[in-house]
Amino acid sequence: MKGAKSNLRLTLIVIVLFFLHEAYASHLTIRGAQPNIALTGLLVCSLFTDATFAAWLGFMTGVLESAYLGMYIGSLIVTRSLAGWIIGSMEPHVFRDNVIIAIGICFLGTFLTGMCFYLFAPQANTLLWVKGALQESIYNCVISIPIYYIVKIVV
Amino acid sequence: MLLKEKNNHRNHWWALIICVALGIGIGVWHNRASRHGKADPLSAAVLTVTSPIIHILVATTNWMNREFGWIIQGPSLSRKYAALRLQNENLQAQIAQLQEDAIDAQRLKSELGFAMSPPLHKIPATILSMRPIPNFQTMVISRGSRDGVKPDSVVVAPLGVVGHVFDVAPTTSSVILLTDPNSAIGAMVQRANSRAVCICKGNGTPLLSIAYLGPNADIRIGDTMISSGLGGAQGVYPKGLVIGTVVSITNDPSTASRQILVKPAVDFDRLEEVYILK
Repeated sequence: MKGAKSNLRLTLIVIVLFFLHEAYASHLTIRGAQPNIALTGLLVCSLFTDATFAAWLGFMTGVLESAYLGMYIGSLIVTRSLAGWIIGSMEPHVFRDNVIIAIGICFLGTFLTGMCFYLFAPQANTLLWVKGALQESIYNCVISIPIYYIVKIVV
Repeated sequence: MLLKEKNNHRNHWWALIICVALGIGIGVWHNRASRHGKADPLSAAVLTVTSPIIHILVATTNWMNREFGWIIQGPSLSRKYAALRLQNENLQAQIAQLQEDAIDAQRLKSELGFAMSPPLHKIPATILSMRPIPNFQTMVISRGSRDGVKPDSVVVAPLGVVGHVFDVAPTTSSVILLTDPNSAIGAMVQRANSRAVCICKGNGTPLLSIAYLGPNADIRIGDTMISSGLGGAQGVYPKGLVIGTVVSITNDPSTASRQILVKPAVDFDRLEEVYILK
């Protein structure tokens, strides 16, 4: 599972999800909540690899996302690398053959990544930021289900 | 076995340390480049390589919406068409009247010796990504420094102001929307008997809030706000661009001030194309 081939497939999945996120995520907005498909892809893929590769996967996601945001470049790269690394470190200890685990990890991972980002780059309205992070976490939980099954089939 | 596990664990830590150090380095590099009005080479390279793929995805979706959208919207389309036809006829009449007024105003201005501002050149651009990261009110458009876009260029849609460019790569530009908390625009009321001047600020919600408005300034619900050309935090918007409509005025007795909210004229979620003013 941890071979070079599966790592290459995970990288491709994250890249494809990143493209889908940039092109379509804003069309999926519901009551101001928007999913982060690229981050969800990273969190789910990190479940299927070790900490070292998950950190690199996070680094790549951070570089791609930050190029499009155009600001807070360092904070985005560091938070994504951390998120990938932490979930990758959990890989030998968690039962990843269960979609519930993926959903839980996506919720916690998205929320903590948002909060960690806030620590690195404080935003004007804290309450609004927390509310946004919660909405995004819930939305990411929902989209993590199809992504989890896709990753499982492909890897 | 134990030693191998220990080595693996150490390698994991090194991976994290390298990623974090590289991340901080790239961030510092980007900030330095931005301060000099340049794009950092890494972000520019990522955008140059990836934006054509996103462009294709977006263009395909827009085309499918145009060609096959009627299948989904079918029943409501004829009602919409009738309403739009009526609106179009009314607008044609208004345009004819306004053109007449504009000719008069231009003649009077030239007779009085006012300096006439040259017409602004508009570059059309496609939206590649709206809110690339949720919670940030920014977007990426398909024109960059190769097309003459510069930081602080103003971005508009047919209905009003969208925002301004804050980061430019060779083939793309990042735009901060009016609704972002870091965005502000000098504004004034568009009413003959009130020219109250203020600043419209984004607050991360779909509405803008008004700041620095005089206590006795005449402002009402339904008033149209236009750019004053006087500054705001950025000072880049020319005068006369439509910002939005006042939708709520709340009196705060404790501070004797008014909380005024403006609904932007542009529906950011329905935008497909914008124009960059040059």
